[in-house]
Amino acid sequence: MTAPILDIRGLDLSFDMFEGRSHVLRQVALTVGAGQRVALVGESGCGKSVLLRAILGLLDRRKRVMTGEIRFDGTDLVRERESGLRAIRGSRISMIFQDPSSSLNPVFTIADQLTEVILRHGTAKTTQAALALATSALRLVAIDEPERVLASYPFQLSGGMNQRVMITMALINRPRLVLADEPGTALDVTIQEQTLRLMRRLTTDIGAAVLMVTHNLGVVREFAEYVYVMYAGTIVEHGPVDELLESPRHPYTAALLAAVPRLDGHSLPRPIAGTVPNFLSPPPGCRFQPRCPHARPACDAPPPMLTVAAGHEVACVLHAEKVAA
Amino acid sequence: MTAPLLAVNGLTKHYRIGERRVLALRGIDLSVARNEVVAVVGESGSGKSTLGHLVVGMESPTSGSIMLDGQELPPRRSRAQRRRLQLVQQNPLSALNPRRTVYQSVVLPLRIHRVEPRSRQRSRVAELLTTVGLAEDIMDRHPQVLSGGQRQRVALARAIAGGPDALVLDEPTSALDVSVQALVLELLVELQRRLALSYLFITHDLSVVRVVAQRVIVLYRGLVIESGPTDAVFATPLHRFTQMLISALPVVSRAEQRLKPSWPWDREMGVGGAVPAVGCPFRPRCPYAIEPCAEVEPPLTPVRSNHAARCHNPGP
Repeated sequence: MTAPILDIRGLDLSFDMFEGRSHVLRQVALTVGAGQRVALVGESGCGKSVLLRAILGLLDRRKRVMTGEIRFDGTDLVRERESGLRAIRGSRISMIFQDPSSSLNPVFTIADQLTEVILRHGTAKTTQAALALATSALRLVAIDEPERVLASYPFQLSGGMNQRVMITMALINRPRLVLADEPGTALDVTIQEQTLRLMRRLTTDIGAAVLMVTHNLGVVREFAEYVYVMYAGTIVEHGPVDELLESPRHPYTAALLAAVPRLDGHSLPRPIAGTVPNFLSPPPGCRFQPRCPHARPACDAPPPMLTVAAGHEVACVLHAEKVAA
Repeated sequence: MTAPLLAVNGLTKHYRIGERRVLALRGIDLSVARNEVVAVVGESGSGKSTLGHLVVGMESPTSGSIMLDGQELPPRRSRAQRRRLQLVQQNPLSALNPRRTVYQSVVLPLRIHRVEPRSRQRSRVAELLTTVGLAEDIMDRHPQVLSGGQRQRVALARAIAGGPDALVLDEPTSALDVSVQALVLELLVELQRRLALSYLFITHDLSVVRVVAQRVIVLYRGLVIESGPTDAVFATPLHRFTQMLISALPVVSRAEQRLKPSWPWDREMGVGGAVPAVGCPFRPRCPYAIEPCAEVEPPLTPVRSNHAARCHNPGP
């Protein structure tokens, strides 16, 4: 693999709340290679969006308790000062949000919002040059009439169109890393498919790496090369997408896969029994054990990360038993 | 043959926006038999939610009729008629009144439709909650403190409280995570069998209804562009839009990938925009459009038994 652009090690994150300390992320390790497309998959509330916010430095510094490392291109973002993060955000790391209509500013035109992003990071020096760049960038996302779109407010455009504007905004400063939070899930499947294809093509063109969070394993397969599975703030399994989907090793990955409606077979998707644990007092050891059909006493200790195959690891004692047998 | 439970004939709905007239639905025909699940699939803006609203009587059609058990439903329905058709909406958080407890929300239809004497209402609500797989002790909670799956169950309990014959389900699972979606789907199937209900299942995600619905109706910009048995629509989708819709579904295995129709995604077509005034409404996005598509709106043509499509150049 190429040198990592993002290298997260031993990341622990908690928040102090009235009810006590909420332990959200535990010992998260995650690597994104330069130009690589990586997915982080998990259910809502598993901590995947919080991780993206932690990378961008968007968490309230007075409430977060964060230890470990988030290395981006050599800089540790956990220790970086706010001024340093501001210079990185929007230029070297950018973000595509789930719902474009609530992330774009409703009172400014698309032209205002795009040129601001361009000028702030010095990609173009004059408003005129910025407008010219915005126009050509919108053509790249297959918008036929960039002038009309630039003059519009977000509410005058369709969801698919706004999503394309968001993608343009995220890529216009040629970032090294794009963080994407479930892009397109608020949209129709047809628009979602087009959005994913567009993102894949454009990020490849500018050589940007992508870390995408999603709850949909189908989206993972369509978009990513490598995937991390997160459950209740812990990484339970990671590997190359095709291998992990064909032979999942963690009971949670298998359960998540069985919950997806399929195009073959005659059975209903299978729900996962039980509920996501409370982060105030998560179960000891493996956090999935209260819902796991294979839970055993050994699960009370933090599960070791075990190698399944090259680049495929699983945090589950079942695998250790299988290897020993 | 006996009349279907629900029959919709030539249903049309216009909206006026200033000077403009927007055609939300045009001449929709469909029927749902007793115990049958019929899926209505389409993108946003296809008119599928409008169809649901018309069927339950929240809005009145511009023209056309809705028949229940062979009897035409008037624009203002009687309480008894309203009781028989109930709606479950997409987002249970906005469908449930935040100031009412679960009990207050579920008891309301019992009172309105006077199906239980006052003394039995509390125990009936408890029964309904158990039916949808909820513990009785959530009765006095408010929807904000419930999870998405629990809220959707409460909305379902409320919908079945009056003892309806059919439910209109408007994207009942699309606000939910896959694991919770599976839970709600399982419950919907169980309720349908246990209470002998009929469903009009509205969704934008075809994969959700594949094992649930017996028949599928595909809407595009207010028009039925394909209808047929679910298996046939998945195995041999006729209309190009249906092919696009199936091809867009994200899948998790190679086996499923092979089942999807191929679609030339790399040929960039429009992302929507205005519907052409003449010809096929899908034409601006269709890579297979031929000359007649720009001139004549294709009629709904039966190709196989019960499987019809509105396409001049159906494939593959």
